[in-house]
Amino acid sequence: MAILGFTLMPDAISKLHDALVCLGKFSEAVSIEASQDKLILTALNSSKSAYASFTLIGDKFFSKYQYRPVRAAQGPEKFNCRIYNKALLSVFKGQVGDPARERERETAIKKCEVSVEDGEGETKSRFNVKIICRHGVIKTYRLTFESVAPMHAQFIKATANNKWAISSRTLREFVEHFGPGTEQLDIYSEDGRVSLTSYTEKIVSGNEILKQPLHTTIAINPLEFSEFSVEEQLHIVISVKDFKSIITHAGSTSTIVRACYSRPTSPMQITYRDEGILSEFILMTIGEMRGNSATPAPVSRVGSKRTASRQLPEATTGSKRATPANMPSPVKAASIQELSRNKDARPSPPPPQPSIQSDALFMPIGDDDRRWDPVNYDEDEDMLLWDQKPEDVSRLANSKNATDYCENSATMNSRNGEQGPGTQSVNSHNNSRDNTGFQQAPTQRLAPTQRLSEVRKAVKNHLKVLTSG
Amino acid sequence: MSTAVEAGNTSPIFKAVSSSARQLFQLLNCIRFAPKATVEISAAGLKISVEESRAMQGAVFLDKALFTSFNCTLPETEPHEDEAEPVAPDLPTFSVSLSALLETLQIFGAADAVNNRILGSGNDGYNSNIRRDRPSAFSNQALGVSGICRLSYQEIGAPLSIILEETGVTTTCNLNTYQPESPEEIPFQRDAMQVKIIMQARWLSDAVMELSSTSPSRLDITAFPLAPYLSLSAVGPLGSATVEFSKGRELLETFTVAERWTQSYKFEMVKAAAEVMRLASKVSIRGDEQGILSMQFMVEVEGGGISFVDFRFVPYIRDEDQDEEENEYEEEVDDEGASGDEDG
Repeated sequence: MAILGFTLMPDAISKLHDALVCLGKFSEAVSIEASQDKLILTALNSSKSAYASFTLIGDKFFSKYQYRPVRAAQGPEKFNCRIYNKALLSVFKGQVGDPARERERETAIKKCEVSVEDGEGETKSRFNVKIICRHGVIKTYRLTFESVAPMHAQFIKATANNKWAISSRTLREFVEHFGPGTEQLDIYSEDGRVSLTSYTEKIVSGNEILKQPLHTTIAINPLEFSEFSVEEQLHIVISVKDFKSIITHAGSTSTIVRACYSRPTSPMQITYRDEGILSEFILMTIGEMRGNSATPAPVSRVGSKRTASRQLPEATTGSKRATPANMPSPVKAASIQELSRNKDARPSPPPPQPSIQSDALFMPIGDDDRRWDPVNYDEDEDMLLWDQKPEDVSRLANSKNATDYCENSATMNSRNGEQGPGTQSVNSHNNSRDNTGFQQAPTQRLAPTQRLSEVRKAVKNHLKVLTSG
Repeated sequence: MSTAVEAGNTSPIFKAVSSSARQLFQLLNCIRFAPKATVEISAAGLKISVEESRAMQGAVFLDKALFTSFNCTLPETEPHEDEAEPVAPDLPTFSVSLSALLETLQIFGAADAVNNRILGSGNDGYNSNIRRDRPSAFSNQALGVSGICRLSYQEIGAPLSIILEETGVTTTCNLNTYQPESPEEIPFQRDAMQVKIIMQARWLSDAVMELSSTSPSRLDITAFPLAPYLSLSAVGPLGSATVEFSKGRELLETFTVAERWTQSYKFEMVKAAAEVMRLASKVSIRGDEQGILSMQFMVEVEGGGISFVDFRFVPYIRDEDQDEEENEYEEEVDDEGASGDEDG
């Protein structure tokens, strides 16, 4: 008696193949979880920093889907198994992908029936696939599987208030430009443009250069995005390889890729849907340098509600990490938390600065003229035009130093001496923002104990708003 | 070795000219699974055979029609017959390094070979339907600049010399010949033949490719008088895979089997014939009482003409456990294509 049975038509086989290829880039094994109405394929990579899942909707993806739990009386229970991706890929080949070849191929697949048997005693536990081809060629596979519950990564959407969505094809075009061999991808928005920077750190061992540094920045107009609401200057860093794997898959269909994240060291979720198939990826992110210079900034009232977020016990392990503020979302797999800790400890490279050329690529709309003028922060009247509140004016005077500083410094390591103005101005800034009732989402996210970098960001961000408004 | 050949004999045992070394290469490449090949010269052509572990044999017959000129002067065997004790083999036979021979033939149209390699690099068996060795539009042959290949074998013990002439460049290669190893054929009992199937080679190729994905060690071939007629299955560490040809009529040109016939062969050996499965247009699969499997491939080489490549395999001895598996398997088989009639 088969626990699970489903039938796939050629289109679905091809989609399943694509999904398996994508999963294969994360892990060599695929976990399969079957429930009443859907089949979930997942893969978690070996360092547990990336998780991929494809949810195949029972009645949409499959032409027939039937799940009969062994002990139906005990309520809805799930069937889990794990199979080597290699085995599955050899079964569900992307044969139908190329229509030209398909015509030539006389043994093209007509349909594919899968049944899973699992039981004690006589019944053998096998994942049976029967592929029926034209001319009555029948290919039958009986794959062994491992009965292991899958490990799911959890993502808490409520805390993820940075969101963007973009057409998968557009995104794929961008991804194609990432330098070969780059490792990290930094996503951030600044000055009304979104930058995707792929980069590799320079690694030197003795006199030998093991890796040459390489930065490729792609600046994108936010208008390319169908939705974009991300805190300015929030540098979120993920692995290029994982991102590429995802986008390669997403780009094969025309869909909208959505990303949600809160802050560095918390997971990022990337989702998109195709007909009958939901794709979800959860990637661990690393953040910008909070290095030794980071000292807790004065607490602002705004973010106090965030104290509700759970604190990691290990937050106290190092004084460097004095800001536990926004925790990685609790995940079922404890190891993901471990991961975030590990990643945290590792200093991430300074976020690469976009080159001047890329600055010129996209002008913020309606801002063109001013962009070409020399930047002059002393022109108070500019600011006054935008908002005449006296407190703003005074605040601007205060924050000027910090801004200049942010603009000029190339690396974040050398900033120790200049924390004073920055933190100060942020305080005033936040307070004033409360007064003006600004609907600027990013600044609300400042945690009770702020990282210096974020403080600087906030200042800069606010200034951008003022100058470009 | 025979001493019957006189040293002063000026006419070589064998001398042939081919305008296309490529055809020879294609055919010989099909049996490229062992380092040495045995060449047997007869008036009708050359028979080149290769064997492995006495369990597998592959043979290509290069018909004299493949050559533009073919001269064969068989050494005088009459003196031996007079002695009523035939010491020398009837036909001149020698052994030669197959890989060296193939390399030599590849010198010709080196550009073609490069092209071919590039095309072939992406060939992982999935796109086996695009015939890999089809002539490309820019091959030397298509452009009409193909050269000439002269093969000669002066006398027994002499090297096999191959002279390649192409656009004014002449390459002479002398390949050392060796005394042949025991040239015994794997015996196939034609009179005790139990199964005979003729089908398109590409389907066999597809099936073998499909099975190879499970990296099996053993290939089971089973022929049934009724559906599913022919089934190839393999068990690997990741599971098992079976390919069935359930509609006899459409798939199998000829299908003759009296009763269920099943044998197991070493998968790697059958896979050694993958190249010819891709290249050939038709295959005749025959099995005898003892389980010897004979596969004859009909290869249509470019430039016309049909050649045959012959493979023979010795089966594994099966034990009872495996038969049990077989029974279990049989129960599962649905009578999907039961309506199809058996083809004579």
